[in-house]
Amino acid sequence: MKEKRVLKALGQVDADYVEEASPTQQTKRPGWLKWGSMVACLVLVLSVGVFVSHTRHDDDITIGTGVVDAAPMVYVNDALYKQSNDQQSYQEQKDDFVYLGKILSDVSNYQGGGYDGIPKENFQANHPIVGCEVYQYGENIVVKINGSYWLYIEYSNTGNLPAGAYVGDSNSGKDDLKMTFQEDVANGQVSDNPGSVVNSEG
Amino acid sequence: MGEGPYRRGKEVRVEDKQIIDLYWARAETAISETAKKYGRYCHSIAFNILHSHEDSEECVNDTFFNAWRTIPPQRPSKFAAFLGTITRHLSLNKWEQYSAEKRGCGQVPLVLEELSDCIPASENVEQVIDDLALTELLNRFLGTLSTDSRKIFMRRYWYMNTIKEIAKGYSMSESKVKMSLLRSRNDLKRLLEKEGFDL
Repeated sequence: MKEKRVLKALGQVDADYVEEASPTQQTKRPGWLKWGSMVACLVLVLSVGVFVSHTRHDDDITIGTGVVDAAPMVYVNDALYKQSNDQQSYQEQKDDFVYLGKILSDVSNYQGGGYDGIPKENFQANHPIVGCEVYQYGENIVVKINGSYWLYIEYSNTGNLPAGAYVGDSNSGKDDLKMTFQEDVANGQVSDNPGSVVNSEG
Repeated sequence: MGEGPYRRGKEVRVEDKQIIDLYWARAETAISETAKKYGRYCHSIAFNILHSHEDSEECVNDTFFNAWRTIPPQRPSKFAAFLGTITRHLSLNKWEQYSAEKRGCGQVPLVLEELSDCIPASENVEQVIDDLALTELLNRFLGTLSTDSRKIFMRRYWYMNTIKEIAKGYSMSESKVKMSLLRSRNDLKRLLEKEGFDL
């Protein structure tokens, strides 16, 4: 039989190949490596799941950087305004727009522990619109951005306030008006619009 | 690792060179040291072929006797492979004898059936290859395989381990082992055809 010749001839092959394949030389993966790999994969999958579930939560909060991804807001004349959820804007200036001033600062550049994504000083925004004109429009305001007048609704009228935010003067009782920002997000009061400004460190 | 004896647990292992020196010194402890270190290894090779502990033990003892007869003058550089080759050869001879007596068993019939895949059709061949050339061709063929494929091939057709044993030994699925063997057999067949050899 020809195959028997092959089988016998194999018995004379290089000793290196014989030793290489020896059952006593087999490099079986240690048990701890196998289980360790499985545990590491599980941890990775869970970590990614947790990260995604938090970052997808209304696209507003980024866990991990310590920075809140808040809806576009401006603080003008001691009141906090949030961009309207439907991103309402006007192409032309209306007669009843009353010019108030320009946005002077932007907290989105602030980094570090104290930053919560909410503007707290007059003519301050949490997105890069420094220099844009602000107009009073009834109870609300409009901000002229790239030629359009974007509507910002006074936050107190939205029913909730982000943590750390206060509206009006100091007599209004800040503590009473505070709500946790997380609740705000959960209630859908913080923007779910695509204009939401993503802040992240690094 | 040094050349001197080393301790693994309570057992003192002797280096191959020292065992071979014992053979050269014609010290009878050479056999007992060989049995201590390579008895199980040789037995497993014989058992895969013969599937009988009694016959395997006989082949292992014959292996040690052959080693005693051939060392000196030989001084094998790969002592394990040297012993294993003798055991395999003796076991296959015994298997052939059993086969003639219709007592064939173990992995050999299955291995032979698989190896028949490698045999080129006779009309494609130009000359009959002799044993030495066949071994040389097999060495060249093994050199072309990846390390993993080569190990699997050798475990199946040299050590005659079962597919299951190979899969377990290398922590892989049985289907992967089978696929590797199939590819290697096809490669060997192609090489034999290319060289125009008949067996």
